[in-house]
Amino acid sequence: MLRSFLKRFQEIVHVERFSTSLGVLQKIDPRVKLYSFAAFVLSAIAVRTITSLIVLLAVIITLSLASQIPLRFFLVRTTIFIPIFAGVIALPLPFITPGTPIFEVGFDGVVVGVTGNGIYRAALFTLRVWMCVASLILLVLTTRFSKLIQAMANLRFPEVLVTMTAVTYRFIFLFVDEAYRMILAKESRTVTGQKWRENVKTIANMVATLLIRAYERGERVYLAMMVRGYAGVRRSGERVRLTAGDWAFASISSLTCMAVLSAEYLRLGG
Amino acid sequence: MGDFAVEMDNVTYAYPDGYMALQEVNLSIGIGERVGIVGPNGAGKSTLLIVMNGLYKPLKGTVRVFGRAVTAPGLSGVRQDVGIVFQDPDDQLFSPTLWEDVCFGPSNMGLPKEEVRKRSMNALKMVGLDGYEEKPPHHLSAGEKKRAALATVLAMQPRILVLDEPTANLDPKSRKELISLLQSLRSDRDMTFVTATHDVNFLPEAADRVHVLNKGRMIAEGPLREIFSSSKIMDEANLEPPIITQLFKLFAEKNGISIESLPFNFEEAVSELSRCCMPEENKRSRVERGRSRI
Repeated sequence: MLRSFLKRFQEIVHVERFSTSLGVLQKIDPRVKLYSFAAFVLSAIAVRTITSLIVLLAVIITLSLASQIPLRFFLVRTTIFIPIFAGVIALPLPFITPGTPIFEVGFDGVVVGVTGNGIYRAALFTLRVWMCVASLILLVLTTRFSKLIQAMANLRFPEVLVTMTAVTYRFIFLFVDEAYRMILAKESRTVTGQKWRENVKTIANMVATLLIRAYERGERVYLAMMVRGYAGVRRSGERVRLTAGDWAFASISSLTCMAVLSAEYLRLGG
Repeated sequence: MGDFAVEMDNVTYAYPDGYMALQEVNLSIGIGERVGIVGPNGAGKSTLLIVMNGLYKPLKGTVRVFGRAVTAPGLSGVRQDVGIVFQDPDDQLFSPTLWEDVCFGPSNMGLPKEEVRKRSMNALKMVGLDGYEEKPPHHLSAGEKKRAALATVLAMQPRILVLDEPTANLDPKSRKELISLLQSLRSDRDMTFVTATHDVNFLPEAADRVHVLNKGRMIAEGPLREIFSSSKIMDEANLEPPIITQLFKLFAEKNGISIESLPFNFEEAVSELSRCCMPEENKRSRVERGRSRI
């Protein structure tokens, strides 16, 4: 199970094939994309109605289609994380949100009421997570990671953040590979099925080993950087001028976000 | 004094946990020399290389690079002189693209942009990886990664090239490519080479003189031939002579033949074979045949 999860993780993170196709988003400067997607994510966090979130999601899905990403692929890729991250938090919401219960569920003699309000909040939360994840995935799918890092540096993101992101991206695959090999090595020596408790123990040991290995590799990488004169500052790449298309995209996405936000506040206010 | 690339005088180094990795090591490497550091696993080879660069400060003793103490201010000059290619290229290549990695060293040296570009381009050409600029390092093969790591150091144009187990984890073809690359570097420049390895079959290609390290101590030093011929030193260092040397030794012992100097590589072996094992007439007729062709 763990093995297939790791394999899947690699496939998901490791997609660069769309970053070179000639869709709309692939033509936009990474700095502008970074800005626009930040605006989408912030809007998704700010809005409070399902309608607004659906509008924003529609924008993202349209953009993905315009960037030559197959719809099915995009939907699967963006929803796969939902149960892991949002499900855990959203699941109890219908039960704990105050309001008039629509129906009641009983487990083991304890009766809990499910409120309409609660269901709405759970749906809102799940949609919001989906929207944010979809934005990030679309950004990563249509941009080469190295360009994204360069964009971060050009936009004057803090040095530490840029370096950490770059190094994380560089080494994540290495660690996934390492974890994968460790699991293979473990499974090759597991003849009969292990008891659940034992299994948890082995996995805990593996996690610990991986942590130590990561720490040691960190030391070695730092040493290798020092050998080449690293003094805590990395130079940022050259700047390229934004095109009219870039400016247009930035304006359209800003306007979209402002429209969604003002529509909602006008409606709520009214 | 000024003729040495590296001088180590009584160098002792201990890791923070108290483990004595190097004990009273003395070593001197002349400018333009090709030196091998051999020894079993855990002998302190890698530590020695890092101490040489000044990144690890010795507990006792002094390290000088081209006559300058590495602990003195202005250390960056020394780091620039000593380029280390680490054993695991994944430790060395940490940028999102190969190009950024190759530029990393020269731009840290504060060179103008045009110079950084020129040097990086040259370094990539030298290792045969031009055209790979935009590749992320995790998409390179092991052999390519190794050459890429070498390029990141070559771009800094170090005067001393330090290689830590350069042939580790390479398939035979990549190994061959790396060896011929190192040989071409040698003929191109007036560079000093320091190679730490226990690949004895590779050592004759990389070093003329050898230092033997065991348990943090320097147990022997001398010309490659001398060290390889001493079974006492080789045993102590957990090493064996190159496979071709072993073959000749065994053959000579079994047949009671005396071989003047044991060969360490194929070239030497071939000339030794034609010298001692080919019948005189055969040799002559081959020479004649060669002449008649001319």
